[in-house]
Amino acid sequence: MLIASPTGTGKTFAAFMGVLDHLEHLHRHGQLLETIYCIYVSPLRALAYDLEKNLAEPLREIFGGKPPIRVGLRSGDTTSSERVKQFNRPPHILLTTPESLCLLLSQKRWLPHLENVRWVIVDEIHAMAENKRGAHLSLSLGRLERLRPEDPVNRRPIQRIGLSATVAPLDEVGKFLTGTNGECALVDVSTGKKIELKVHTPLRKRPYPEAGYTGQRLIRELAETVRRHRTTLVFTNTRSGAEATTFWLREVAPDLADAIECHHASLERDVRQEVEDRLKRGELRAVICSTSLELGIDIGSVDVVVMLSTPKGVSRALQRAGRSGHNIHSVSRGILMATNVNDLVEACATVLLGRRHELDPVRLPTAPLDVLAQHIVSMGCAGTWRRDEALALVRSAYPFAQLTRKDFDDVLDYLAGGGQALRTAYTEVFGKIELNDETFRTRPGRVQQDFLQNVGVIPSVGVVRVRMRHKHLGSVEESFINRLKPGDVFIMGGRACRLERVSNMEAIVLPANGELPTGPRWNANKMPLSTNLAEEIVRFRGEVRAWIEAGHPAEETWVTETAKRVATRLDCGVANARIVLEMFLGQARVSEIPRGGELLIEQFDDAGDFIVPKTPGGRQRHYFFHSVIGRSANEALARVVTLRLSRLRGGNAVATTNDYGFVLTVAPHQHIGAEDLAPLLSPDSFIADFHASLVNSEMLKHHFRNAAQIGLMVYRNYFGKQKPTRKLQWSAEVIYNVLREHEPDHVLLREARRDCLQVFLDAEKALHFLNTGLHQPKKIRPVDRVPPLSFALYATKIKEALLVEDPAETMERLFNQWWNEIDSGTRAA
Amino acid sequence: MRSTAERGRLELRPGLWLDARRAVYLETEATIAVADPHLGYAWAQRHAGNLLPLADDRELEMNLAELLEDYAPRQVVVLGDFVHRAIALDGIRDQICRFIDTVEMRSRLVLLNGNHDRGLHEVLRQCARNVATAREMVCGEYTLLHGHEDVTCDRTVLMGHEHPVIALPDGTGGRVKCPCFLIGARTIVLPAHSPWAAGSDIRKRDFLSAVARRETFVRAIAVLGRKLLPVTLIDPA
Repeated sequence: MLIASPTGTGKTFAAFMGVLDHLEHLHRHGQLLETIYCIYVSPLRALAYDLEKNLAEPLREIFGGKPPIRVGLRSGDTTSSERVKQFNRPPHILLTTPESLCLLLSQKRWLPHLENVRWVIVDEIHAMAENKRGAHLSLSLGRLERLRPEDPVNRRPIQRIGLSATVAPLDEVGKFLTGTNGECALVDVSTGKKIELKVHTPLRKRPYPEAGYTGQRLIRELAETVRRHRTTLVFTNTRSGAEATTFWLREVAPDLADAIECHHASLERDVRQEVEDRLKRGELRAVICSTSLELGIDIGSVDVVVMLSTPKGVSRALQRAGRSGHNIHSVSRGILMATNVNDLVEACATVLLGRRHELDPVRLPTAPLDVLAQHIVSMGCAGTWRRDEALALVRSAYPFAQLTRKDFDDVLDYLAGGGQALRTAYTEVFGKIELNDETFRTRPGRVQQDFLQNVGVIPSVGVVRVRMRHKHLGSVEESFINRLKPGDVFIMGGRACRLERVSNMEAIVLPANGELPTGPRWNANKMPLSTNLAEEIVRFRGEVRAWIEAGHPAEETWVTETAKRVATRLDCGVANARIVLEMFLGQARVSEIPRGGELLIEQFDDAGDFIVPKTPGGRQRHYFFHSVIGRSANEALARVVTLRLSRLRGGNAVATTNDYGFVLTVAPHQHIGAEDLAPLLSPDSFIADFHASLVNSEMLKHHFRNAAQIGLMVYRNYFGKQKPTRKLQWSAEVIYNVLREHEPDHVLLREARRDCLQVFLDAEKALHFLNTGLHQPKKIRPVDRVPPLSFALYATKIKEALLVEDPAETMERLFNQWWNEIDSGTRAA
Repeated sequence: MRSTAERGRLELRPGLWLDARRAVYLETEATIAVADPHLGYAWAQRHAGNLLPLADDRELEMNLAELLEDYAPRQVVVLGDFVHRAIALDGIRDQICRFIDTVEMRSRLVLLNGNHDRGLHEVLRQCARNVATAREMVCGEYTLLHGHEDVTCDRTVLMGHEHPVIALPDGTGGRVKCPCFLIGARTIVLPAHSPWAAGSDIRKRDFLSAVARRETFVRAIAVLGRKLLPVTLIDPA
């Protein structure tokens, strides 16, 4: 059964009600055994902690004193003495995480305790279904099912109860929950709670469509919002964004500084815990988080949620807004802050779709082979398996339903240390499993011990812990620290720190009170725009274009009237609508407004005034492709187009992408004409070209590193100690190079490619775009300045090469300069 | 500086040839020097619990056979770290034997001690191979050694140990790491012969050995596939 309803509506208790009732009934009849009846799985440890406390209360109320129904918590934090206690006297209800559940399933002695499980409750299932953690969990659920003793009379499958927030399509998530053998009842009460979304923009008259923005104005308005409410929760999408916002917000509101805190996953657990506790007690006025408070734990009474960067998807916007007004009767309020005019259109579209409850469809990963490898080792720890029986079990998990026999056998061969030939040539190949034609099992002894320390699919990125005197503040990415030099000031936990030195994976810092940070800057948004949002934006662009073409844009009365029309269409204020309209008018003057059903490519020759060093040989040519398919699909498309261009013309071409398109920057001998578009944008052999474009890419290397860890090729924990990540990355890179050369079809390389293809670079979506657009018109339109809709791309493109002046300021100056030119150009005409 | 047309070889000093197959050829002494083959790397990793692919042996052997064919040297000197770990495993013994046999069929092999070679004698004994070993050796105007121990000597040193790599722009905004020779006034560092080797960029200058830390390297010769590309590190002006 899948229950979809917003947070704070009591779905957890709805799920537990029946369970508690049944257990109470058993107790009353003296039939309550010392065994686990119910397992609750949550992606967040914190949720399980919360639930432990929250279950204790009703149990005390029902039974008074010491309740006969025992609840136990099992996570990575559970001490070994507690674990022994749990084993000797298992709780009736076990609260755990997917990783800990898999660990229990890997231990033979635990299996009898898991045979009588009647219910599995999966919380926040929407957060897991889409990624490898979910695929990992789905296999654990199948294995749990198989443990139930064969009893022809009483045999009932385990009831799986999924708890989900706003999610679509529900039936797909339902299948994920039950697997291919089960039926799922859907209970959708997600429209029951009132969620109010609205858009706010600090933009004034001059729209400023750029990836960065003038932070100060935004921060001041954010401070006003904080003052107007009791508790404000702010989402920024990135960790560094959360840090920077916290810092600046404290600067502009020093009187509230003590009640403003930062929260993200790289802060130390006790630091985070303290922020959560203070939030729950109502002591904080504002908490700025990356995405870390999107899910789960009860965060008390937040009265408004501000999304500083656009959430990039309708479901995410609703989920975030739902974090305020945390009970079923109160209204959830979410404000989308649009910091540039593109964001403004996007935010308006998000709000519109949110009201219509048109959610982004979730996409499940298909048969991740690294996850499979981990489970096979786990299964083999618990006993010997027949190959067929194991394959059938794996396929019963929905993400693995389409797993081919060959993939399955290849994973077994890899885990056995290599193919049959190698295994017969050497007595010892150090495989994880012992394999023959019929059966497999995990090698006993050290392999099993090592494995138990390396369960899980959350990839470890290179992290460096930050220490100020004797206190650990948190951790930052290794790559970030590598870009700093001693003396640089950066922000951690909302406070300025000066880097002293880095040693042994630790960054030693001193407080840098009153100093301005030298990094990090506002980060670009990393999440791709969802498909239905993109479609809505294309629709809107087309409508505005039609209005402008049929109207009198030179007349002020027409502009005023049309702004009202835009306001109605976007359901936003007239002032905002005016900004949007002005931008589209500018676009129409310099170029044309791209619309659905055709592909617009703008061609711009850059004098390179703002680029240092100047390009030798004069001008660079940019082609702006207006393909509104989201960042990750555009990246896939741009990779293929660049590859094809260099085949066609020789040399390298460079592309820069965002959610709305990509810009191709080329040398003089690479100029393209209309006749080149068909070969460049052909859907034929697109996937093959895409793979060819990936061969040398850092991205594939990066994903291989994850696959190598998840697929147990390299351990991240060894003899109970975490390896320094630098060493880990070092070896993963070399392995990658050797494999690519000698064993390009290795299962883990295949997995890295699949990951790139389906998740990080959406080649499937890009191909779909090309297929749909195959017979649609495409044109190259020369423009003599960068049109407003292309400006964000252009800005990202040249930002790296800018002069020393602050990039945000340069951008604003640059943009205003163009705007004036556009204005004066119209007047002259 | 002479170099062959296809830039696979480059004569750094009279009689001192760098070869893109990660080797040095000393013409007068008819000697090939390679550094850090780290034989049995993948097996050693597997022994430690990492399930590395075993696909790399053949490349190393073919490389070696080609060098022997092209130069017909009097001797082949390995500048240390002949093996990654001297563990008594079939797979490692196999690789050692094949390497030794390939060389000794046409030439003579000398192994200089590296920090990874501890216990190598025992494994060589198990392999029933008798190979000359030494701490360092003089070869014409050069001293050949591994580089993990600090030494002072009057001749130019040819050493390994550092696994030097240099990151070069790949033309599409990314960077590629290439193994390289590192050239200083009194020291020449060879790239690792092992396909598994990777190291930190020489421009970061976090060298492992005292010998390399003392030296001022003016030039790197990057190995790009089968070509050599000289890169100036310090302008002579």
